[in-house]
Amino acid sequence: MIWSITKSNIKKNFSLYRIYFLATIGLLSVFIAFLNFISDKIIAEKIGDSGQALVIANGSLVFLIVFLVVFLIYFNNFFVKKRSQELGVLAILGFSKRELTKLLTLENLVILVLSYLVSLLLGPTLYFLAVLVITHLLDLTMEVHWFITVNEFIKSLGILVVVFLINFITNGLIISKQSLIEFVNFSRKAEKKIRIRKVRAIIAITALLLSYILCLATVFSSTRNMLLSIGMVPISLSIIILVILGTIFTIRYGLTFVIFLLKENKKRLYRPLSNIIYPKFNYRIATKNKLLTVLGGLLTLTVSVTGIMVMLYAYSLNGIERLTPSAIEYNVKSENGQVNVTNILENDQVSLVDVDLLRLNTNPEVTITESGQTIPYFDVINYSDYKELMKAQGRTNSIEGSESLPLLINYYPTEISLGKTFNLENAYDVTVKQVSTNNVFSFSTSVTTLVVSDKLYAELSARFPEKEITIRTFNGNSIRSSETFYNQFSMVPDVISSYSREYTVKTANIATYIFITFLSILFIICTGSILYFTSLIEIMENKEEYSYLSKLGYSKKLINRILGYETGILFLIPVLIGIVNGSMLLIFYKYLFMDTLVAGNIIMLSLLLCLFFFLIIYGTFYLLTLRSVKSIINN
Amino acid sequence: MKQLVLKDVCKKYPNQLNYALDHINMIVEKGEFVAVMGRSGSGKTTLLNVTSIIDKIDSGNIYCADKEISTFSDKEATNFRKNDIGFVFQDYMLLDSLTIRENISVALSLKNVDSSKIDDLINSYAKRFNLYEQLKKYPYQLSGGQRQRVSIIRAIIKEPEIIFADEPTGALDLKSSEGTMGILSEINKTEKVTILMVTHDVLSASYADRVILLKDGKLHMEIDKKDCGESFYDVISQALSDRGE
Repeated sequence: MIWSITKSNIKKNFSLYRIYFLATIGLLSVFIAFLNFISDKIIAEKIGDSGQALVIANGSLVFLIVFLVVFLIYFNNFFVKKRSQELGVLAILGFSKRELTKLLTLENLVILVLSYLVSLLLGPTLYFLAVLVITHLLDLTMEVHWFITVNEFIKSLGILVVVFLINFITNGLIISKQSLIEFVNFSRKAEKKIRIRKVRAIIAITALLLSYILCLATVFSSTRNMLLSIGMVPISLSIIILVILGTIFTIRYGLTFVIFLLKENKKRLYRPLSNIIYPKFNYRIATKNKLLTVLGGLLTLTVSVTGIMVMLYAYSLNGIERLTPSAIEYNVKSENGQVNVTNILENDQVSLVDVDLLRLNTNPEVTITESGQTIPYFDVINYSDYKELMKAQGRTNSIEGSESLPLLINYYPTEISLGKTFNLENAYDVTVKQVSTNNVFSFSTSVTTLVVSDKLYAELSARFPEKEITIRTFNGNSIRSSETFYNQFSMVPDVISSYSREYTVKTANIATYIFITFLSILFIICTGSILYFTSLIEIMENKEEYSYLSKLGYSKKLINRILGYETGILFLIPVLIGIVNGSMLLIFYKYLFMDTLVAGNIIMLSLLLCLFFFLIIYGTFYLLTLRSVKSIINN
Repeated sequence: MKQLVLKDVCKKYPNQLNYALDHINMIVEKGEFVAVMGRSGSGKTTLLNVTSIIDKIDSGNIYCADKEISTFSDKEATNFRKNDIGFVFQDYMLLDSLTIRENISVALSLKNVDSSKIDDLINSYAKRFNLYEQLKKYPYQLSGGQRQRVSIIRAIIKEPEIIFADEPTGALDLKSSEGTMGILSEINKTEKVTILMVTHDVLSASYADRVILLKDGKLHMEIDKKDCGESFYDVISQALSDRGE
């Protein structure tokens, strides 16, 4: 009998079950996709090389398990709450509490088993598609295939059993503790009094703003140095604590206070839309602040992790430009006539520049780092060659005229040598007039390039002809990433190629990129689906209020706008918090932990693109949610 | 002056054999308080829904102050509900997340009443109906009777031409029912607002000027207070009893 009631209940309450069913499938699929990911032999081998990635993988697995269990229990509780009146009726009709528990347990079992079976197909498919997209987006070479392992079957089943047992115990407790009348009234909202805590709100907002100010302070060198003088660890810790506490209490107290202030403006409040939206906003904060905080935190984590990966990727790629400023570079002596230069130069896009370089000993030695590391020689080149090579590399000449010469090009940003006089080969004195990090050679060729006037170079060259070598360079936009072009030089010993450097960088980091991108996709799916289902649940709980509004004279258009705002609030708070917090932490990371010399603008641009991408993704989630919400209300 | 006129109004729900409203002809004068009674399924609530154009009719015409409202477009119907009518329902129709003041102000802000006047208006009505102390509270903090008073204030504060009341005392105890009906009767007399009320309760119906009895979707009988005087309550009771209700 219980079984037949279970079947008819599932059929009858399909709209309600559908949400629970889809939520369970969504979360389980994400979990199985992650298991799929860490079971992937290619990824496992790559991750195995990186201790850091392995720690992140294991940490993420624990995090996902907790996340999955908590939200499946959350959805189950909602489900029981929604159906409690119906269960109350069954109790009145004579069903014992044991039978009611049995009924809920059976329903739960059906949903979980069905979700499990669907997720076993959907999870690996999700992983397959994600890896396909990632490898395509990042232009990586990797074999992609659909698979599932016994380990995944067992682990996901284990989680499901845990969820089932927790739900069984929770449902049993709910049923055993409720009296009949409480049961009938259980579905009514747990009312929460909205209290305005002015002082706490101001402290919370101030803490959050202070953390932002500290992050932004790292952008400017003067304030950055001031922060560094306090110490990297205390500043980092302070920022993280301020962001966490500021976020939690701003959601808890700050937002209600802001709405309270908005509501004080009666002209603003007494409008058809704000009269409904402002109070509902307050109510939502009061009832959903924990969920919003968790989602805000999760989104901050997602934005930060993805942002760091994007920055590192942009850094690596742009680092290639700095490490190999020419597409091809080699010492002419090592070539031995193997390269057919005439053929290569038939391509109009390609330009060849040969630069003569004198490696001259110097006294004192050249300090190349702030910590005092030295090198006993200069690689001297003339100004005309420097200009020509810069032009061939498509870069802007940073110095004009001889007043800036000699120019010292350092690998590390240090100005210790500026204004210092060096004696070359005990014969010539030169005083460095300018220091730059704008190198024209790869650092395999030269770490301390000294650009001197053509006249001085001619003198030095005539005096020390045995110290002169010729560096041959090939440049052109279309050839930097060209494997075909590189193959024409691959036989040259010690050839420096932008293509081979790029290939090495991508291959070495493939697992990390895929891993972090995949993790970000999982987080996005998790947060997005929770926002989606929570919105649907909220709207279903308050469905009748919209019919009241219609009867009061709210047009369909106005009601749709209210739905838009109501759903938007649930999305906007965590998304905004995630993006703002994440951006601030990323700015902090970039300026304090990354070499600021490498294409700072391109890194920032990549970061902005990444944030924009987040807005698009959550915007899409929002539109999908709004569509479902409107269909619930309008039907 | 005629406030509401129903001419040959018919309404049939899909998959139902019988009419929910079967050729109803009815007139409600301006300022009149009319109660509609009948057993479950007689068409009371359908009558209220079609006259307040929440629901559409299949045939016939409904006029409100000479305007044919049964042919209103969705937009016109929304404007009609927003400006010309007020609702009082058994389940109060209050929004849980809004305070009592905000619940009442919805009716005024929707009608674009000057925002500087809204608080004063709410205060005066709340004082009149003994709810001033409750304005900052939420619906769940009020008793059933108090919630129904809030719902009445929300209906009357926008000065509608008609109030539609669907079982306004259905969820209340005797004392609260008398209080609620007293208020509806008072506003009918002082504000001259027309009231069309659906009820099961004879006591509530006895506050009206006229009682209309429906049976199987048809207008079965009308009882006018003027004809009965003091025995209005007894006459209604007798009529229902004769019909086996």
